[in-house]
Amino acid sequence: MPDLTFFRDPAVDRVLGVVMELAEEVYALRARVGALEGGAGDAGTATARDAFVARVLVPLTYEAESPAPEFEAP
Amino acid sequence: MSALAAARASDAHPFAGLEVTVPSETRARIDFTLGLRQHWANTVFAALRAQYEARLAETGARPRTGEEAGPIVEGLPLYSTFAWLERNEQKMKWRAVTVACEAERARLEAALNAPVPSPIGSLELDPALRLPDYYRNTEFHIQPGGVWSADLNAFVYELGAKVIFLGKNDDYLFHRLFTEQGVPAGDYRDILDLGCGFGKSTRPFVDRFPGARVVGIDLSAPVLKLAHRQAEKLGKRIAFHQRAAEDTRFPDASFDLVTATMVIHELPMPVLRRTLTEAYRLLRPGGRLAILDYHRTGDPLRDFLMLGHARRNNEPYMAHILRIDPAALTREVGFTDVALLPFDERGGGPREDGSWPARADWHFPWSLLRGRK
Repeated sequence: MPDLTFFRDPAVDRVLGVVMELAEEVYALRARVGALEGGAGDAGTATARDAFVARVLVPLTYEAESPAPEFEAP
Repeated sequence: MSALAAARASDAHPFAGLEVTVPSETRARIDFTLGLRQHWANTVFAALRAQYEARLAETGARPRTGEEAGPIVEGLPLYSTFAWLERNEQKMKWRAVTVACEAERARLEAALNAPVPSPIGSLELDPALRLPDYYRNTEFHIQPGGVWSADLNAFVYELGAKVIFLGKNDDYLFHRLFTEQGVPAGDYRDILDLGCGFGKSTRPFVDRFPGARVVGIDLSAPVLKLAHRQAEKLGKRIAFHQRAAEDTRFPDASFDLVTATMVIHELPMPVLRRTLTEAYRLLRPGGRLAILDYHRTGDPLRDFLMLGHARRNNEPYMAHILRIDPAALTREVGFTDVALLPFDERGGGPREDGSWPARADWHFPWSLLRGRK
């Protein structure tokens, strides 16, 4: 049974799923590498976690810092 | 120091006290989903709010209810993203916590079914109890298999319940707050907690009313086994029974306080009515009813998102509780002194002036419904 979709094109739902899975994988790997390099073996602080998530997700909500200018039609 | 203050002062590991051990890699995955949820509740919700306000300013629209706000919110660029994140973060969470529990399946299942030595409380299961269709047919909260279909699901649910509250309900502060501030003071002899799950809402009653007999009922055998085990480990005397809230089979007038925490929004309307009627039957004259659940806030954006949350989080009967007046229904079945108040779950408790906490982030609209027989 297909799950709920939320975007006009359901392919976006699927691609976002892929992106989030990869982001989770990167986060888990960072924690693993941190442990191997002699860190506490912990997933890190809430601040570091939130900064990571914010960096990954910022394109979903941000206002462009250098927006493209309006071009007049030639 | 009150139990609440003591719990606040504690600096426990977020997963302390749980049966399942969470290996560091799984911890990282759970942590990521928690981060995702924080970002969704704060940044994405705030951006959605900004788009909503801008759209109202542009169009001059003035929706008064969640239903009226619906077409506006659905047309906002961020709405699909907000909705997607809500459902899929939840699914990612269940995957992560399931991996942690699956890794220890044999040990956890054995622990759950081992007899508790010299119990001070009790556990009564009813293998003949027919679980209602609405309950069997819905994977509430998108938890695969629900909380009832396998022993392991009790542990999955317990761990998931830790994560869902954004780290703000460690040591179940929320439930302690409800017990200490949501329930009127009284000399209760017999307390019944409907839909007690794994006992997180039931245990605080033992602390606040140490002289009372505390009883918890639920439909799910796995969570009741976990509830019994955890209560005994913590030295809380509680009698757990596998029974339906709408048909408890306890005698008339056998309790002074009946409570339900985070339960009634999962009940179909006829079951909700029967449950309130049953609570009335069970109470002695003067007995109290105290229910912690959701209600609409009057903020059309939040109310519309909450109506959608019902669908996105597999809670098919939740929209009903948001649309009706639960206080009126409670009066209809016989209760007096009925009040429905916003409940500040982050420390403030019931808000007697009826106002909702002013917050910029997304949060569940918790409310306290209370009455007297």
